[in-house]
Amino acid sequence: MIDWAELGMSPIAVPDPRRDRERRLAELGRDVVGSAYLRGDFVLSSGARSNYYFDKYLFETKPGILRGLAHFLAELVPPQTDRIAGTELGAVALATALSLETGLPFVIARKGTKAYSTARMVEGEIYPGDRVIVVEDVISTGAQGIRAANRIKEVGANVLGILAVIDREQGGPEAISAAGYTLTTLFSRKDLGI
Amino acid sequence: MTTTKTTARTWELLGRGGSASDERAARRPAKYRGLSDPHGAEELGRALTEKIRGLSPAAIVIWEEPEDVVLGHVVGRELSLPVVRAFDADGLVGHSAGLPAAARVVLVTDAVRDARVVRAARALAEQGGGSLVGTAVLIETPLLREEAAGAGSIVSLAQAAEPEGTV
Repeated sequence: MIDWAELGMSPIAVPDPRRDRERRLAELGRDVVGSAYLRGDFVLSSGARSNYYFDKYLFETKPGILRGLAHFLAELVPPQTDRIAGTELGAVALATALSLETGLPFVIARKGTKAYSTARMVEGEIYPGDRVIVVEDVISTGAQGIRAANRIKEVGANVLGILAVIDREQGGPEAISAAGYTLTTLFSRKDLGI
Repeated sequence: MTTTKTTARTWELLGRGGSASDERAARRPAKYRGLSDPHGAEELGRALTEKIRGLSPAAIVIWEEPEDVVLGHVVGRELSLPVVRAFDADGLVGHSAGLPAAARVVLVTDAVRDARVVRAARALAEQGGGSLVGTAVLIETPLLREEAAGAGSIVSLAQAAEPEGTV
């Protein structure tokens, strides 16, 4: 055994990259909760009522959190991806940050329950056959993510999957899977201790 | 749910042609392009109002879409009721001020194309201690019938036989 004291040295702790990553991801999760988790009586877009809500704008407007989210989401972007897509308005900041992190271009998927013939439902440059990752902020029932993915398919592009920051665990992954898409999230509600 | 007897005039205003006795008219590809004709919108709005009256609402809720704003205006004016606009505020349902507490609420829309619209109207009404007593539409879609349990009494001017999404 090396006697470090005799050598006049002390051992250097070499960080375990995997544990370090998990620690930083957990810290990021705590930052997200600390900035965006609200209690109250809310009506969600799905029509459901909830006693809590993640205000995406409260975490998407903080550069430190946004940078961290983009870093970890970038790890999940398949290498063959041509383009990122974000739904107006909330996911646009995420798509922008992820685009800057990965160097991939992005498009904005419009939402709305009615399609008008004169409206472009996907803004930005996109071509049939493009391989696209859809980025979302908070997944509840998954309806918005599915709608965004469908918008991308309607222009002839291929959806490689949906990436999201938080899964509220309200049936979103199951609905997305049933719609034929894959969902990967950074945090589940359980991960965040809620 | 009410039995809908659609007049030839209603079909004409909805842009489908045909007549009350022509059931095939309801199955034709939709030509409905919204309430672009102000006189037609007025007439359809008044006809729908008469169907809503019996529900005795205290407020009208609409989803913030062009057709529904027009339709809600006519219905609200005819019944002298507040019209509350609901909208998707990126994850939450926002709404304009004016929903009275414990109100009997009727959702007014041209056609239900998304079940969330019905669910959100019901949740908004219940959040204020009230209830969704009815859903009033120009064209009754299969999707609305699927949501019937939570939609209150359904009143309509016409029924769509074709799949949801074509109206």
